[in-house]
Amino acid sequence: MNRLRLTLAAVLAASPASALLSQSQTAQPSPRTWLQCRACHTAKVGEANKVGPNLSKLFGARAGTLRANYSYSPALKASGIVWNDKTLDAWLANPAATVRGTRMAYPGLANPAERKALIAWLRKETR
Amino acid sequence: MMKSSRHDDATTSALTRRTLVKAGLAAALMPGLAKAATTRKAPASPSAPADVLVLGAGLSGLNAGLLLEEQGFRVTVLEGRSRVGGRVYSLTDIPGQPDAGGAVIAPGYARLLDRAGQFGVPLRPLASPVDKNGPMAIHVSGQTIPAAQWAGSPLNPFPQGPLRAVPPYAVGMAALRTSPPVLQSVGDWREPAFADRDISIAEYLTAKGWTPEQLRLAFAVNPGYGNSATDLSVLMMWHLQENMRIMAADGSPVVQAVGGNARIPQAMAAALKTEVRFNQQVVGVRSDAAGVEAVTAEGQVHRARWLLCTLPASTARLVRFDPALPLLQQTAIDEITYNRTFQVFFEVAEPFWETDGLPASMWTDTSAGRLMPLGALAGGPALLLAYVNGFAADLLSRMPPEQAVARVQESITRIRPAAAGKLRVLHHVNWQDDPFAGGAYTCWRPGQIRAGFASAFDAPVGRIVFAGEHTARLARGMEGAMESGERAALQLMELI
Repeated sequence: MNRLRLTLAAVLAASPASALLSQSQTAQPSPRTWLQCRACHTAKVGEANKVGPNLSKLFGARAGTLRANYSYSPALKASGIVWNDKTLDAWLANPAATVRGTRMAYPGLANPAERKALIAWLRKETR
Repeated sequence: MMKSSRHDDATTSALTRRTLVKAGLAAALMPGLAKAATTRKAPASPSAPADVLVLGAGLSGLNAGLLLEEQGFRVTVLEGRSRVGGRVYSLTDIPGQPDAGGAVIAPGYARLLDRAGQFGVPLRPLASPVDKNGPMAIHVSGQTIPAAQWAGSPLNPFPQGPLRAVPPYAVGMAALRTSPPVLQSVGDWREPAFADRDISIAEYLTAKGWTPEQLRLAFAVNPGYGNSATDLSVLMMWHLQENMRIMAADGSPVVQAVGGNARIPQAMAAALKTEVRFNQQVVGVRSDAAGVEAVTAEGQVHRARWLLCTLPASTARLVRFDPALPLLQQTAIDEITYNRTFQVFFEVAEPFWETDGLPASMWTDTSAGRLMPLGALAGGPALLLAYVNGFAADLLSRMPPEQAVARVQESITRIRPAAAGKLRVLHHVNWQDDPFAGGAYTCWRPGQIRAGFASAFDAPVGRIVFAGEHTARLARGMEGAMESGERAALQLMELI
């Protein structure tokens, strides 16, 4: 129960009440932080790449190998990162510091709780 | 606490949490409920106060407005002009609809490309046609020099070495490129660790042995940024280099919206639930604990709970803020400088470059600035753009427009007599004198980044949030505007 409440709080921390209202039909509303990601990325299986790659089947994949039809930066391909909760947390906190030479133009998500909620959402959304 | 339906559960949980955090939640929820009932576009009503009043229907204001509306907030966008887009401006009266501002969409302009895709605005590659007469020629000190002969020209001020073969329009950036790059992340330029690098290009390169003649040619003739090596921060140029690496993405060609890039902000405005209110030139912003009022030049008063100011600093400095803004923000608004551009679009009756055998494109140190053919874009009659920047644009700005345009045309025909009688003026655009722009795009003077002008608008001031290209943290130009609007919308979602 305690854990459930924590998870709920983490999701709500990143979700506007109105978004929850308007998206109450869908299984899991996207956290507000996803608004910063979605211009570049899609998450679900079968969706197209944008300026950034589609993220489906992200967890467990090696960085820079996920989409054959996407041109990753040499830096990301050489990073050796395997995406999981821990590596994504470091990456989302500061992509440029995690992989020097990345082309992902994102300054980073400073709030650890927001990162956790976003990663939890991505884990389900990208299955 | 637990309710039976998912809908109620979410609402109640959110209520509980937010009530603990801050008051005023019920009001924040109302827009979401109101929005659900609204399906048709509503004409803006001056009597119903919005959650957010957005000043400026350029890319930043429109992107913020769309994001806020999507999240259920009520937005009123006020625009001083009678059109949307701000400095994204397509000349629809000219065949091919060339862009006089916001001309190039780089492959990394993610938010702009995403909005174009979302609203079905088609894009086309903006590739330069191959000129059989060669790449852009150089015209300096009264002499025309083909690019291939520049390295051997006595007018080339650079010593034997890698820079001598670089054409003057590229030599500045080439000289500032270091290995490894000074900045290795697009956000680094604002970091305090680099503050001591916020010096003029002249100071930086003079210490490396550059002469005033070299500085003038590389940074004061047709400058892409600033006017000269003395009034531009070298830190900004390093920021641009890192930014260009990111925005080049996978190296795909740059693109333009079919029908002009203004189609994108037009499509964004059309998607807003509430119509943009035009001809609303805001001259005053008053705020107190309850809300914000924007007063127009004609005395109309618009009210909202929050205000998003996306006006360029050059325009925001014409607005009276009550209470006065803190000194840092007001100083930044007063002093941030913008690139000067003066453009003349000509119709070319006959391709005179086939007569004189010179490349159609030419980089000159005259009032003609840079000459660029646009024919391949237009698909109609060939066009020639004279693109003038820096102090040369200042000179033209000081003349009556007809005289300035005539001066540009005279410069072209002096350089290329074959152009005489072949050019017809279609349009000229002077961003510097535009009452709603006051310049083209932000150019940081030495010391301004260190002084905090670039980050001055990261945080709200009372009930006012700021956006606009000059507030962008990572991108510049159109994508910088989009980025800033996104950042501001997310801030407002937290505040409301």
